[in-house]
Amino acid sequence: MKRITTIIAAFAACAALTACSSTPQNSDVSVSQNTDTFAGLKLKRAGITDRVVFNTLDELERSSHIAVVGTFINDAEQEVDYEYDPYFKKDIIVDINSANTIEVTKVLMGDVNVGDELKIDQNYGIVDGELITFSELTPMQKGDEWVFFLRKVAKSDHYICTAESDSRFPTKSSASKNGIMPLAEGAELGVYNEADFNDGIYKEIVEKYDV
Amino acid sequence: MKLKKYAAPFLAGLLAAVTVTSTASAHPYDYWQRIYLSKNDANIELYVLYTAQTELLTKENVYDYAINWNNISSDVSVSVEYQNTILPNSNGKWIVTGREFKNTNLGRMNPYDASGNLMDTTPGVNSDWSYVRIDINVDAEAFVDLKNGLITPSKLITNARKTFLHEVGHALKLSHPKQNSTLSGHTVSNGRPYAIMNQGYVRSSSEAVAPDIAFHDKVCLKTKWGV
Repeated sequence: MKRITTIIAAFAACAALTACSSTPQNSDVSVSQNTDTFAGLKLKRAGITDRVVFNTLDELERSSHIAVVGTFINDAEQEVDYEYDPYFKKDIIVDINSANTIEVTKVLMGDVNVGDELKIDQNYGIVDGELITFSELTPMQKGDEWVFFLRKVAKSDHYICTAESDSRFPTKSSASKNGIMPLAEGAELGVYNEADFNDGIYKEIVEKYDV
Repeated sequence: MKLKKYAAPFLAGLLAAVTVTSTASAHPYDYWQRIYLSKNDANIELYVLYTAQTELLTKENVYDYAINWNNISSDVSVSVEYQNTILPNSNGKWIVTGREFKNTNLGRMNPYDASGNLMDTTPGVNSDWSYVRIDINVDAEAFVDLKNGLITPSKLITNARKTFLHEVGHALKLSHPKQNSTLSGHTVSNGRPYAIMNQGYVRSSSEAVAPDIAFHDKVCLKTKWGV
């Protein structure tokens, strides 16, 4: 498997979004993670999954290692995975992950502290002018604040949202803090489709944690 | 005789009634429109790579069940072959491969265009797929449902098999049913139909996830591909 890693750093107005690709010769090209960046991209929601689903906060908490309120602070590190496919007889993209760093501002559950910086992997990336995502969750933009229910990734110091749109939610401050994601109808909720937002668990979170 | 005179129209009407009834519970976004490039109807030939074959994910426990999608719609045919050479030799078949997902995905279906580019699966975005690749999580722990009582090999196999059949359903262009109690047949778990095309683990029959292809799945398949 071939993996292309790109550091997505904070340079404003990347003039050549098409240069922000995963080709080896452009591995250090930077793209700022803000509204302007995403506004210039074409969205491609790739793949469709069978995943673990949670119906209650109790279920979510049992399957999560930690739960925090956090703010996205750093550049995203993107990995594009290519694999040889015998049908096409060439390498094709099979997965994309972006590692986003958050700073913990409030601990709801688990062995973690305020001020800790956590890397959260999310299943999306920018390739050749396209935002390609396998995730129901929208990408995070610098300054975004969310409630996260997280699991540690095996053999890694990274975390993942325990179950996609069942495990990342807005806070009371999110509406005023978070960047507007131009490619999503459920941007304030952090999802591409409002139908994917788990309103039931969200209400339980608000009632229990007052976030 | 009078009985013979009326039998044919009666049977035709009965067939029409059954057909209408059987398609009544398929809803918009239960399936993608369009078909595939260079394929006749939904004749799917799958090729299971070594990477997808584990102690849990075996031919007998999981992959042979793909044929359960047969004999529902006359335009749907699913067959499975297995890699048995060091280098895969799929001969144009669609790949089933194993993957260690970083997240809690149990499986994933990726459609591609003729050039090997990922295609858009947004609900309502409809296009002809050239190729489909199915990834199954090779971490057996992914199929452990902590909420379903004692963890047994049987339950692991049920969940793994369900995931594979679910992904084959996606390859046949069926999508996840919407959660909406106003839709016909959406009578469990706050507005879902009982179906294998729901995401998640198999639990009790009062919950929405079916361990095998259920009535709602069959209706959607026939609505999509014909009776």
